[in-house]
Amino acid sequence: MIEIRNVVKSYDQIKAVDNVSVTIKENTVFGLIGTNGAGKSTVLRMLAGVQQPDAGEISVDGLPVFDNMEAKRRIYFIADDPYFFANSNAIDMQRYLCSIYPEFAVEDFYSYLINFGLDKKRRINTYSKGMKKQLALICGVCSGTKYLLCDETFDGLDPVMRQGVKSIFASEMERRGLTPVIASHNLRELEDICDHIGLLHKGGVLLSKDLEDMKCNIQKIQCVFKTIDDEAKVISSLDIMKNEKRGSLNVMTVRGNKAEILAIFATVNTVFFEALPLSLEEIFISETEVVGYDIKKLILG
Amino acid sequence: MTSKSSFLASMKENSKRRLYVWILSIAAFVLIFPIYVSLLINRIVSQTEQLTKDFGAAAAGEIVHGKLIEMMQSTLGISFLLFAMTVVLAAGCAVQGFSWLYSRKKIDFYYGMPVKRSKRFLVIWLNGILIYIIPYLIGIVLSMLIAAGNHGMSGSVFKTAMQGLGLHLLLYLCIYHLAIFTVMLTGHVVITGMGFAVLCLYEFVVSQVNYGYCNLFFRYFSGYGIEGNPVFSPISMYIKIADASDGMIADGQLNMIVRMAVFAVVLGVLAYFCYLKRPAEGAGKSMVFGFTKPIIKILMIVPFALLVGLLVSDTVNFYPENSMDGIGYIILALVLTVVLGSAAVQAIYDFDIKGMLRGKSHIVISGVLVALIFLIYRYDLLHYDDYIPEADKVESVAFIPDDYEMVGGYISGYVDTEEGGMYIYDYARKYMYLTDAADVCQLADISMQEYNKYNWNDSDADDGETDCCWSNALVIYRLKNGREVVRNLWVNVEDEQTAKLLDNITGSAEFKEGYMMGASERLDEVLEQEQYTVRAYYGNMIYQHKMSEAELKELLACYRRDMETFSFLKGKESVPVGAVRIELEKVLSESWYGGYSRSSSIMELGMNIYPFFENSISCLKEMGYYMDAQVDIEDIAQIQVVNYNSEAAERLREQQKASAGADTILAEGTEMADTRYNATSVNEVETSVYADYTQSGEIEQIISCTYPVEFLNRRWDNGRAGDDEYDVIIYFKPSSEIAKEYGSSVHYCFVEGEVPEFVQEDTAYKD
Repeated sequence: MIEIRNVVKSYDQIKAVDNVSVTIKENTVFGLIGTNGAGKSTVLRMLAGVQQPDAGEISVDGLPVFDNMEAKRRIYFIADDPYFFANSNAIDMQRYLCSIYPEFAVEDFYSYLINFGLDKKRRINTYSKGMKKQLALICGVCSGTKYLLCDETFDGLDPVMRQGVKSIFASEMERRGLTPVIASHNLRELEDICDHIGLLHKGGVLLSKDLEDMKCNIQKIQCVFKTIDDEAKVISSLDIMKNEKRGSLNVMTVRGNKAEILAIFATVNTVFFEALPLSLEEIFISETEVVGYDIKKLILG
Repeated sequence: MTSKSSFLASMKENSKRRLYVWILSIAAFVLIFPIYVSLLINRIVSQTEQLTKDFGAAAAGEIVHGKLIEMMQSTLGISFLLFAMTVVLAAGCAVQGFSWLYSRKKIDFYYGMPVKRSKRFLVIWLNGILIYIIPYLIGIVLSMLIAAGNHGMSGSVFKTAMQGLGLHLLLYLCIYHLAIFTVMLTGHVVITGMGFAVLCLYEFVVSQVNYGYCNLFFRYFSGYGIEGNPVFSPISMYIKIADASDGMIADGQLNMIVRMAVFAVVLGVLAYFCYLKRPAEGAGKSMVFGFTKPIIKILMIVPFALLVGLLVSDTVNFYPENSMDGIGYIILALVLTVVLGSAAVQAIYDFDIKGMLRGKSHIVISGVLVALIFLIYRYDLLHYDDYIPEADKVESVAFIPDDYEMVGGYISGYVDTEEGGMYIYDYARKYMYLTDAADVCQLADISMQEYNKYNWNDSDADDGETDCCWSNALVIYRLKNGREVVRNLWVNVEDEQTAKLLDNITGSAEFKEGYMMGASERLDEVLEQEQYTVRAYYGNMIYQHKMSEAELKELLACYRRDMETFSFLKGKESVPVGAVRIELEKVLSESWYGGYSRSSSIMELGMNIYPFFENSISCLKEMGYYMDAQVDIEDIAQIQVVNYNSEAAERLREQQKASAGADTILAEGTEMADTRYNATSVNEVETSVYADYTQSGEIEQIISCTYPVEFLNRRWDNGRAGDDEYDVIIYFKPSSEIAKEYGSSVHYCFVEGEVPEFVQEDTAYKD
């Protein structure tokens, strides 16, 4: 488990991370969402032990991470712009990483290269941006570390590749309990990968929740009530986060268990009733609007 | 786990990343250096055939062997080639090894890896040393093998090579650590380059600024010894060692080697500390540690502004001893440099020209510091010029008059067995220990008080009416606390009390031991050194008698007995009757190519023989070298005396002024010039009067009171001088030996106040 407690980091006079506290559980895919400059990369760098926080604590499985080899052996950090040795090829990188990570999976590495269509002998500086990201991901996955920190790594990957990476993650999670932490400024890119989401804004955490919990606890209902009394009864019984009325049609975002909500609706007369699935985007919009933010402006662009 | 194998693996990996530096080092040491040595060997060996023809096979073999050994020692020991290669490689290796710290991308990669920072530093640092030392070792081993194959190896070559290796490794560490330290402070390669240059030059600039301002504002400042020993410049330290060495490191250089070692260790520790503290986000910034920005900026701007002020003072001929004219320009230069310099540094810090407008408080602080330092020098706030140590706090003193022992117009050289030729200041510093410091302190007190009163702007003060003759002497006070204080003293040798003190000082055995080269038995040791070919002469620079070494030794023994009686007042009242001149020739290089030739250096030592040196004079008489007069009367064909009659010339000038008005007289500038030369022509009126003498009686009288000009000029003690009114031209008989050796005539002069009456009458100007 990774624990980030009250972490602060400033660059000159600018606070990049302001009192962030997040817990990342093992064997989940954690998505760190935020706009540019929200502090995602800084959080990941501190998490990887690249930077030292000005205040607060970061621990990996209970171990402080900065310059602590025991903790760092459990982490592999893929930066937003990954570095490869000048004039090196995939083989050179594999050899180097083997000297650093004793559990580096050499066979898997070459097998992934083939699967992703990457030439192991081709110089990496001739790779496209997307290919470099794929190689960085392969290096990270094969390093054998427990935690894989990916900074904007999925940006620019095509859907097929994303799906490929997703399946690698799934198998590695199942096989050895890999915990990927993925930072991105685009919520839509993480929707189908993450189990848990942390939303960063202006250096602070707006929310950090389990995706399934969020999905289960928020329902979207469209209905037309027969009478005003029916409408009033439902509204008073439910935890309504948002209620839009278009003529007689009510579109409600309601917090609560689906069965309980349906049970309440069953006690009133409706002309039309429909429970709709919520996208991650909609869940975030609802959650953040509650605390006064316009999420569309923040992460959906 | 982090074991030897993991460390070696890291070393190997790091080496892969530094391949081109390895190649560069190998190319320099393993290829170029042995090839260079081979070429040198070949050049020497190619002379064998010619040498065999000239000297025979056995002698030729010996000569070639000797030359090879000499060449190998100078090439593998302290040599410019190895020095240059070391400096370039050290700086290059440091920057290349740690250049990943400039890139955020690389930092993310390396710091993200489970490798301890300390281990990464150690790996890169050690690799940087191996990149140097392995090719260096291979290079010198190859060179020695090549030399051995040509019979050019010996134990001394090996020893020199090992010494050279040690010293160059030390230099490498110094430069390497200095460059790493610079990398740690900066986040961009261009700034690193600039910072490295600043660090290398800083000590030099600060010392130049200090020297310049002391020289400008302090009357009693002496630059002697001010350069001291470098503490922050490994290059200067190396040069200092190299200067004192001849291929092999000289014995006295241990102190400098220790300094280099301390420098290397301190900078290494500092660099490592900064590395550990260096934040990852420093990459790409000009300065990594924010707090260092203003400090470094101010530390750079202050001496730089003062340096510019110094340059401007030179340009506008600012000479505060006389007037403050031009100080406005200096202040303007200081202000502009502070403002523009600070702005420029800020723009570099911010990588933004608009950044010039930021950091105004730094400008103010720099300005205040510059002003403060300038005022310290200008008003001598640290009382440099007032300083005279209390006599009881002085261990010993060296009192070193400038050119006191002038021998026939030449300054005597100084030499000892350890250092060879020396400057008088170094010689006296080493050998003069006046324990009675009270006399020197009192002399300094009197002289400084008088000199401070003296107004150099008052032209009347220098008209010869006053009893002033300021002569210069360097005083080195060795204090009991170990400090050494140097002052440049001006003493009025015409002052009675001063003369008495000078008499005590110069009369002491310690003074003679450290100033009069011939008075010390140290000279005998030098003369016995095999490296010198000794030639000795006695004469007056016109007449010269060559002496044998035995004669010289005999004369030196007498001279030392006479020297015991020498003192300032005695010397001042006398004119030397002759001088002993010793030539020490040292062979610098020999060449057998195309016949034997050599180059050598000659040092000249001199000792005046005064009329009261009874032992020396009687010794010289016994040897047959002593001359009762300064010319052999038998050699003289004719004497011509010229009296310039400058008083008459002056009188005529005044008369012309009065009768014809200012327009008709000579131009103002000419009027101010030396009367001796103006006197010959005042509006075409000749005042010089010539008289020729051929009668032996007259000649005898004239030569009894004339001396070669060189014996009476430029006397430190302002002793008996030549009479400038007269010129005595002695014409030799064409058949005489001296005419063949020296020429047909020679210029002598009368001792002031001793011009024979008949000469005065014969040459007086008559209207």
